[in-house]
Amino acid sequence: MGAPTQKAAIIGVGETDYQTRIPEQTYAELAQEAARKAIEDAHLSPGDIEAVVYSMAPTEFMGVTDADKWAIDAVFGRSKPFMRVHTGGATGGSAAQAGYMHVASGLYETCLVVGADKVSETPDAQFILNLIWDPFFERDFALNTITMAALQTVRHMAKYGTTEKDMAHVVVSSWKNAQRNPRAHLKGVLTIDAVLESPYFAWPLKRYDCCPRSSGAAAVVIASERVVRQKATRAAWISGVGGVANTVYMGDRMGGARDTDLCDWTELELAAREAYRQAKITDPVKELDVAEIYAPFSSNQLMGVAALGLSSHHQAGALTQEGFFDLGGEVPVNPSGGTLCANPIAVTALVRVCDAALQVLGKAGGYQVPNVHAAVATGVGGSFQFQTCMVLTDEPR
Amino acid sequence: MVQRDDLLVLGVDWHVHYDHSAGEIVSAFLKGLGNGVIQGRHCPLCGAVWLPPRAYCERCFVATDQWVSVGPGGVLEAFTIVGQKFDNLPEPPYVIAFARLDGSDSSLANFLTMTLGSVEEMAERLAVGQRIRAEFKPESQRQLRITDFHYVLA
Amino acid sequence: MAPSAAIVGTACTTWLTCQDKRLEEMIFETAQAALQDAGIGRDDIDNVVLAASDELDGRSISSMLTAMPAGALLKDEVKVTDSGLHGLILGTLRILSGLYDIGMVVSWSKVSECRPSQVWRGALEPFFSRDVGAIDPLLSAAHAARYVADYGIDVSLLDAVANRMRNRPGTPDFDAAPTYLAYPLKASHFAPTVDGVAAVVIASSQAFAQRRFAHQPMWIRGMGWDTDAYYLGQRGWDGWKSLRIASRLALERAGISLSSVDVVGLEDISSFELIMGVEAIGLADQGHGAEWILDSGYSINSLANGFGGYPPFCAGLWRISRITQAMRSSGAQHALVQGRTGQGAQGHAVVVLSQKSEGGM
Repeated sequence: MGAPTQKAAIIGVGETDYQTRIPEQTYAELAQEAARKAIEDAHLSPGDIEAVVYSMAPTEFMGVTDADKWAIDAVFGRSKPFMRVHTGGATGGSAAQAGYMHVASGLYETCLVVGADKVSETPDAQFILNLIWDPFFERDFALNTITMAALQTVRHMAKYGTTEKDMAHVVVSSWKNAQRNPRAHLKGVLTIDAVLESPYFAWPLKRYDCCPRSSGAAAVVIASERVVRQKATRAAWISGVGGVANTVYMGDRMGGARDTDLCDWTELELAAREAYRQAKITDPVKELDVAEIYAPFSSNQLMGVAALGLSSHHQAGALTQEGFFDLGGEVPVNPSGGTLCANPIAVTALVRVCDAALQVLGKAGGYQVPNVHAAVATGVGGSFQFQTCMVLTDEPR
Repeated sequence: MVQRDDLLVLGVDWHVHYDHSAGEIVSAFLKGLGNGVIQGRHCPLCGAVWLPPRAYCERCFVATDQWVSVGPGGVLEAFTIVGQKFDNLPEPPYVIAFARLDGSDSSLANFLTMTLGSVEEMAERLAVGQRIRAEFKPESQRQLRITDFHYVLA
Repeated sequence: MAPSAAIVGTACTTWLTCQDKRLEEMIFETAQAALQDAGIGRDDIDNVVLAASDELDGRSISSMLTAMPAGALLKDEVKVTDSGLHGLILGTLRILSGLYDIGMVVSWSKVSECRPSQVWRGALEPFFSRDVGAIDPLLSAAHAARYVADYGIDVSLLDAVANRMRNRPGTPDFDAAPTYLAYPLKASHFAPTVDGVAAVVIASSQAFAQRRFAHQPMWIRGMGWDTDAYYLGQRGWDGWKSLRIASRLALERAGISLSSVDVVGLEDISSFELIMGVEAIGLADQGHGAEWILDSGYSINSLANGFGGYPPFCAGLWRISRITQAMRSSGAQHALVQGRTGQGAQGHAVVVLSQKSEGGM
């Protein structure tokens, strides 16, 4: 398997601000804002969009099961090829890849990938996130996304000596980065002590180790090489994609006959291996200029940098404390503030793609990393069982 | 955020009922709990004993072929102590644990019961790799649910 | 050169109500049977595409539990929440991109575990629609009422079409009341819903150069898909426009005309929908679909008749599976298969299958 049938690039990015509630807009109107911004950013009109992929994770948060089909008119998708992609938290990454397939297959010249979420329309988010588990074996134990991350983090601490302080550094750096991102939900000056002293949600995760529940929308316009040459001055070329799914059962990923360890994010390592192969990246630390890692909990960023080959598992904490992944460091990670500072679940992984694309396009504003030639964006979903990876570059590869 | 009195919010509740078929494998496992037995399913190709029990090996993609009794002893593979109250979920603090019962190749989630204290104190007393034991409720209180047993430190 | 894609193995299973297996077990058995049909193992596939609905499955991220029994352990897996045919289309796009070689597409519904009408109600946005509660089949009935008025249709034709489908040899007897669900649709106009799973293994033309499969390929020669407005009132009343667009595009990409299609598999959850489908793809003129079904002499859906048990959501892929199996041993050259998505058939997908790959995508 070599080059795609048709090369494709992101030429437009659209995002709303991320906040807890957005009472000024209905769900469909919110999605429209991102779609409109992305199409305008691409210097196209809605009529130029040939196909639409809708990014929508569980609908229970916003409460309309046909959310995508409600929003279709608003996102200029009516009477067009349209499909909804849903892979839990990884949805936005999977949707971006599905949009890429529309163009890479040679069947379409343009595809809009768009989605929105209003996670705070219900107060029962963690209850709903209990219903993702096996109804017979796992729902009874109050498993949700926070406890699931805590279980994984305990293993990482036991296996690699990771400390709560390593994790606190991730939080402080993310919040600091987010101050430069006008769309971020949480931002501000946090100290290591403030993070360490925040109350335990589920040991060892404390309040500030956890992402917020956000509302907001995001979109990208993906175009063929032909359209790029005609219409765009800059493009973020989709040079490599990968995705890997694993068992839902976290207990299969601990000891015994395991193929992978829950705390190693092997799924991302394998997905990145494929994306790097396509993008001809052999030394990620040297060749990647920025990484947007879907890390909803602070410890996840330590797992993510190792899975992407930016560090060893053992060194991830120390390198984080040394500033290796800060803005101005060797490989800036989540200069946008990342998922710890905004988590509109249905599009969080698409926001990673947006932020990576903005870096390649040189449009990231206050959090722009200088001279970005290659960026990577990831998405994670389910019981940390679905991982996606996309490499964006300033030239086609 | 400024409260605006021109914006309305519509309150909606939505109830959907499901009757999930347990199937033969899950039914047999849950019935086994009534007799105080925990059983995993054996893969004829890779030889792994999987818990939760399933009708097929996800890895070898063949039907599993026999029941294997596991435990009651085992190893703690991961745990967390919940310190926060979540709507519709239990009162904190409580411990969620994944333990690999002796004779099985994967870990099974359950509550771990221990002397309560602050979250930090409880964390001090738990470690990955520690021995645990599955302890059943008295026979009269069993409901053929996974909560018919829980873990305790060995 | 751009690759083409073909179906190399398939299986489908339906149960009136499946109580002795959990959903995941139904999926495993069908996916495993599809691999066996292709003569390959799980190790040979490089990706999995699922098409399913969390709300029907009663699992908030259904693919967490269902991806592995579909064969996705450490594979590239993605799920669409649209019809099984939309899943096949995304799987095919992956093959056509040149980045994947052999994929598994699986779709299902286990409607015996939930009450679909409760789920459909949640499909309605809360401000204008939910209080009115116009879910399927009520939405479909509103469209049908307008249809019979616009074209002066004798409503007994809806009975006649349903009876024709129900009385096919081999169709089990289901109780169906001749009382109105919502005028002009009666319960007896609807196919009985069943639990079902369909699995299809697809491969690229490159894969054929490298290995053998158990059967001759059935080429995915054309495909089109299109979704209309959310509100029924904004879709227009002159038939299923989305299906017209989708089927025209699928045939155009396949490079064949409707007249050379030997096998047609259309949505048949009700006699009304079957009539709408026949008209939209152009087998009959607007307002004449029922007469065509009754009088043309063509036995519509003969290879996959939903009136013998219709599995919602995955019906399109189920039809593909049945038709692929039947075409292997028949002289039929081309098949056109439809799947629908959304309330009141808001969107449609069409796939054209051919014994030969020449001239297609």
